[in-house]
Amino acid sequence: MKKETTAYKVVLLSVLCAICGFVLSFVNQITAPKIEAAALAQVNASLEEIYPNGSFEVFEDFEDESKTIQDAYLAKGQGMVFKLKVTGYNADGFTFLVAFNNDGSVQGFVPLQQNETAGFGERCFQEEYVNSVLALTSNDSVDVLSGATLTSSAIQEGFDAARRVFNDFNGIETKEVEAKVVEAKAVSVNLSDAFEENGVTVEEVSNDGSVAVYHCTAKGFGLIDPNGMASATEHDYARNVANITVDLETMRVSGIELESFGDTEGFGDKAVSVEALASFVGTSLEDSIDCVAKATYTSKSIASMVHASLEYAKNGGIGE
Amino acid sequence: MSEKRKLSDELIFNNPVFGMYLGICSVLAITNNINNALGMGVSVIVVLVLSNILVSLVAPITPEEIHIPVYIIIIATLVTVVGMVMHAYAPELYSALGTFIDLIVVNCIILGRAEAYACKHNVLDSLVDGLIMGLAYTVAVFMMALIRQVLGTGCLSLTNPFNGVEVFDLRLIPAGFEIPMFTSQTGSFLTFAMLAAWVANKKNIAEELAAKKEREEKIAKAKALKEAQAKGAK
Repeated sequence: MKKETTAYKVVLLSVLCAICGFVLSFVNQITAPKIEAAALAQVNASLEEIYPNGSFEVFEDFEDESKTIQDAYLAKGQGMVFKLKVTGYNADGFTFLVAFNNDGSVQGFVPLQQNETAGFGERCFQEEYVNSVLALTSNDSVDVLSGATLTSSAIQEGFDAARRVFNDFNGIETKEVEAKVVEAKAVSVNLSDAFEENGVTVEEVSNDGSVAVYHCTAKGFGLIDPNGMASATEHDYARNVANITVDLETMRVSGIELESFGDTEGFGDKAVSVEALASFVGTSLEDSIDCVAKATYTSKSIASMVHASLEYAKNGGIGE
Repeated sequence: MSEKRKLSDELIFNNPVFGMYLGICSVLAITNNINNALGMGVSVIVVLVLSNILVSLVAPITPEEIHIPVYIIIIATLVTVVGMVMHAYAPELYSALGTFIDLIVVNCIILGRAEAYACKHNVLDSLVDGLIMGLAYTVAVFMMALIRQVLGTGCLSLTNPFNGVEVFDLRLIPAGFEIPMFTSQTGSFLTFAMLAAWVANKKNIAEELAAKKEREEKIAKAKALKEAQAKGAK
């Protein structure tokens, strides 16, 4: 056959494609089990956490319209585990595991990788919310948490996709459930906590013999330049400034005055209202305070300054 | 070998990345640490060497009209094989390099060497060419990653891609003095520009020296000829 003929070109390309196809299928045969094992090993520790000493195998025979189920595993004789990826507040999304026992009850809810906002979306991975998920069955839906709406709605989307697949596999009819919105309980902080993330500084101390006034600043929630968020350092955050007055005899806060507010208007400012600031008056290092709902970060910022002032006073730093 | 090639010239002056500006996309994208750079470099060496060998073998039986599809099928198969092997044995590196592994198929260096060199030379020469060009690419990505990682994070670390064990982790710049911009796209372009300018400068100096040497040789020859003519006249 001459090289210039069409037949020769067709045959050459066909033979080449056939050889390449054979090579690829051969390599795939060798690597596929290893790739599957590596993927399983990655989540194995978390699977073991849900079903200790369980025997797992990858389950692929399912349809998921929501595209949130990344992987599914059968825990032999025990139940099913789903690895889900959804997008909450952080555009990168987060991954978590949900496990259903064969009787339909939820056996596990484990975050694998998440970077949701501390104090907000992150609450969906804390004990209180995790326990509420563990009390569900495959015919319930997870609650939407007020103040963490985006994160909990994303969890709900993944959870619903997982329970649909689980119910289909086990021949259970899936009931459509309307999600409840629950108000989050206020976060409580101890004034003796370290508050390291707030980077509090006491800049000036003065006293008149009976009380000492501490001029403090602490990191708030907002960034001075939101575009620089990826590489934000301590100094890029807006700071709240307050004067805390401590009674040197009782070692309790006798007054608190906000000098400058650097946080989000409409959210953080709830934590610096007259009532909110008044709740610190009379407190000592042994006390704890409830953060203002939806203004947790700013509440902690104020609490960190109160903590620093009380610590200063306790250690003899009462100024002149 | 049919021709002698000076390794230092190939690695620096004829560097496909900084000398010919080929395959820049992946260089800008994956050079944020030396782990990724070495992983990508080794992948390109493997694909380049094997594709050069195979192209050199099939070139004599390939009609001119279908040579590009033939080369692309070979390169795509090799890249897919490398991707599958990396996914199986170095999964962390595979997820770090992401889609850039698949994009080796369209890396200009690979098809460029197949088209410009391998199809016209024997298997051994093509193998050496693939190795040299692959090494030159690896040197380029490694230099970029070295500068970006050290300036951007202040540290230099290497992890074994097969078991995830840290080989070393050194802090070279005290905390607070690093320049995070170098880990971003801006830092990538800036580092590339600096290195490309350095290579261009070296190339210009070398060319000037070569031209000067040539001129001096010509003058010396002309002088010698003149002297010989003068002696002959006497």
